[in-house]
Amino acid sequence: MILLFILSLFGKGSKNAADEAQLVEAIARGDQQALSQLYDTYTRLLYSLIIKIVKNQEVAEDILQEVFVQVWDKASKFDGNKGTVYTWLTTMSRNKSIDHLRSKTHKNSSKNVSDPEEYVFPLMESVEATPLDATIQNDQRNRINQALGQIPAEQKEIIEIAYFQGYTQSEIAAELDLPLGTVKTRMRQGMIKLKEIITATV
Amino acid sequence: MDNQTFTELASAYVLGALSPEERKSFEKELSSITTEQKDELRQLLLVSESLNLAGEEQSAGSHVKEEIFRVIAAKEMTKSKAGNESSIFEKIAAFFGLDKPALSLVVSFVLLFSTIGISFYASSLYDELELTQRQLALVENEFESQQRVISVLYSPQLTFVDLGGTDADPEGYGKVMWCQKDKFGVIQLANLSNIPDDKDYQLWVIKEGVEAPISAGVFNIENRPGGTIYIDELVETDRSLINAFAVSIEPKGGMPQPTGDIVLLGAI
Repeated sequence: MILLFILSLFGKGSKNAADEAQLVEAIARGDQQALSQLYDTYTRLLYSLIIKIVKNQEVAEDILQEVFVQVWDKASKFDGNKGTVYTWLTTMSRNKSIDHLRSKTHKNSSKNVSDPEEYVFPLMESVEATPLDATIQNDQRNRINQALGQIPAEQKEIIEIAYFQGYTQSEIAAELDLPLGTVKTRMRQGMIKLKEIITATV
Repeated sequence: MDNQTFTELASAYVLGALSPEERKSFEKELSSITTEQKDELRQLLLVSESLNLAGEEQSAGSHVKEEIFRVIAAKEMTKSKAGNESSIFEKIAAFFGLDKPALSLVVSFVLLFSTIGISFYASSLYDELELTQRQLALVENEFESQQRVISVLYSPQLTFVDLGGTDADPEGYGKVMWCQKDKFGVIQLANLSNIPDDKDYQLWVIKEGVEAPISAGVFNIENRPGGTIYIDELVETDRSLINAFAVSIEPKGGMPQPTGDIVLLGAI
C-alpha cells in the first residue's frame, strides 16, 4: 500500500487521469488540438520506451507515429473505467515495439502482443501512476534505473527480456538455456527486490 | 494458491511473461485471491509500469508530430469524401422517392446495362479500327508501289517498249518500262481477256543471240482486263541486248519456256 500511495502521489492522483481521459474523449470527437496536447505530454516517455526496445531511431519514430495515429483512430474505444491513458499508451507502444522485434526474430512465437486493446489488468482499475511532469518523470527514471542496478544481474536480465522483448518464461528458459523453475524464481525474486528498493528510496 | 506461487505468477503476469493459456488460467484465479494477494498484484503492476521509465530519456524528431498530423489530415479528407458521396447518394434516393437498397438495385442495373452497352460499342469500334488498319496497309503498299513507278518514270535511264495484242488476244495492249540502273521494271496492261484459274501470264525477254526466251516473271491480273505489274529484278536491262518482250498464257506458276499463246508482243 505504501508503494501505491507514493506512486499515486507522483502521478498527481485521479485529477490527472481524469484530465487525460477527457483529452482522449475530445480526440474521439475529432479534436486535433487535444491530440497535439496528448502528444506533447507523452512523446518523450513513449519514445524513450520504444527506442529502448527497438534500439533504432528510425523504427522508433515510425512506431511512435503509428501509436498516435492509432490513438486518433481508436480514441472512441478507450474506456477510462478500465484503465488509465498512461497504461493504454505505454502498453500500445510496448506491444507495437515487441511486435516489431518478433516480426524480425520470433515469427513462431506462442504469444501475440499486438492487440492494442490489451491494456487492462483485472482489479487494477484504480491504479493511477501517471508520472508525466518532467521533473517527477526524471526523478522516477533515476530511481528505477538505480533500482535495476541494485538487483542481481541475472534477475535484471530475466525481467528485462520479459518486459522489453516480450518473451514468456518458457521462451526465456529456452533462450538462456536455464531450467524453467530457475527463470520463475529469478523473475519473482527480482520483482520483489525492485519493489523493496523503490519503496525504500522514496 | 500459496503466496509464493502467487507472487511468482503475478510477477510473470505483470511483465507479460505468461503464455496466453497461463494468462487466462491466472486471470480465472484472480476472483478467489486474498486481499493481501490483491494488494501484492497492484504493487507488482506498479513496479512493472515503472519499468516504462527504465533507460535514458530520448526525444523523437519534430518531424514525427508533423507526419502524424499529415497522416490524420489525409485520413480525414478520405472520410469526408466518402461522407459526401454517401450524402449525394441519399439525396438522389430521396429525390426519386426510393429507399437506399432500392436505389442501390436500380443503380446496379443501370451500371450493368451501361457496361454491356459500352462493351458492344467498344467491340464495334475495334472492328472498325481493324478494317481501317487493313485499308491503311493497302494504301501504304499502293503508295510505295506508286513511288517506285514514279522513280522509274523520272529516272534518266528510263526505257520503255510498247506491247501490242496478237491474234490470240487482239484487243490487248500494254507497255514495259524499266530503269536500267535499278533493274526495276513496270508492265502496264489493258484490255486483256480473262484467263482460267489454272493459268497465269508470263513475261518473256527475247535477247539477241539467245535462242530461247528468258522468263522475266509470272503474274496474274485476277479477272481484271489490265493493271500495273512490278518486276523487282529484271533479267536484262540493257536495251541494246533486248530484241523483244512477249507475254504468254502459261500453266499456273509459269514454265521454263513458253508453251501457251503469245498474247502481247513488243519488239525493239
